[in-house]
Amino acid sequence: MNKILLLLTLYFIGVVAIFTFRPLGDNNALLEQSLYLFSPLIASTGAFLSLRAYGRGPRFRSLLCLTLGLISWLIADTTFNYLEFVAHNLQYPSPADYIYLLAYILLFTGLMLEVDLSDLSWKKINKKVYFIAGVFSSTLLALFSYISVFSSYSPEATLGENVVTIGYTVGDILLVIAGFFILLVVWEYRGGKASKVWINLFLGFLVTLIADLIYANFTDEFETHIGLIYSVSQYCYILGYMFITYGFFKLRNILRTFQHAPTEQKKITESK
Amino acid sequence: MTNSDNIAHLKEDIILLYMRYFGSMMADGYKEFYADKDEETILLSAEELLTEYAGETKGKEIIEQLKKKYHIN
Repeated sequence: MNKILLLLTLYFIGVVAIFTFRPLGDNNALLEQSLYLFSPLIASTGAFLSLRAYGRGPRFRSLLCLTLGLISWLIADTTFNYLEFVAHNLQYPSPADYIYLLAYILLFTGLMLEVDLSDLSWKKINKKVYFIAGVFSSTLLALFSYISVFSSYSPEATLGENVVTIGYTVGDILLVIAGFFILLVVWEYRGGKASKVWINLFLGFLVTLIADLIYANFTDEFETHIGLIYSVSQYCYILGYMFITYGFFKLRNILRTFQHAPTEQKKITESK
Repeated sequence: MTNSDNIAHLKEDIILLYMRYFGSMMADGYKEFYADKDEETILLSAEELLTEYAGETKGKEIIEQLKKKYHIN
């Protein structure tokens, strides 16, 4: 097991232990959320390190959008927790909600730019792959429509509340659409190191979507901050960030290894 | 187009590919490394790198496209 994977696994075990045994009793929520915030922090750090390792080039814009998207999620999570647990003044919609929505736009833009730069051979992709990716994405879209789209709008809610609620649904749908294309990139780059990066990013966004679905349908559990459903949704969010973190650290390692390749090849050539 | 022009353009295309996938740092490193290399060595090196990064199918597909463009057997 590599170092990053080991550290992420230990972190996740620590999270599960804190959520399960609740060492601080009634004050445990603050500890839980402090631990939670560590996950968007490492995910955005991983994305930033990949961006730095890449340097200049066509992918700079896409990697920048992805990094800024993850930083936005970090800021939104921090603001949300500050308003709820420190200021005790969390309203809906809050500034955190607008930052979450901005993150969706940045992440979708970044993912689609990356897909565009992946140079997919659309005509050569096996029809079965289109079928599987299509069925998978359609199932997710149908699930979202059934669970959240039709319940997004509420005539009693204010315009701001409705705009933000619908915005979350649209954001999740955008991620499903991006997920379909990511699956095609995974297939196109199968067997290569890049496909492992993409599969981790795909799983990260997928688990985040599942967490969003739970959040949208069990609002009472999120007010009390206890119970199995609350814990499971938090695990999903954290796991999502962990997959994304692992994907970006993998990308950074690939870039660094390949950047040292000319020196290595030079040594081999000289020794011959 | 002379053979040396052909090699120069092939190198340029490969460096642009590296720039896209791996960024400027790697592209600059290979620009220097490929300076005195022949066509065959450059293509072998590119195939090895691209296959490792993008997988065998995609890596070979890119190399085949380059070979077709520059009429290399």
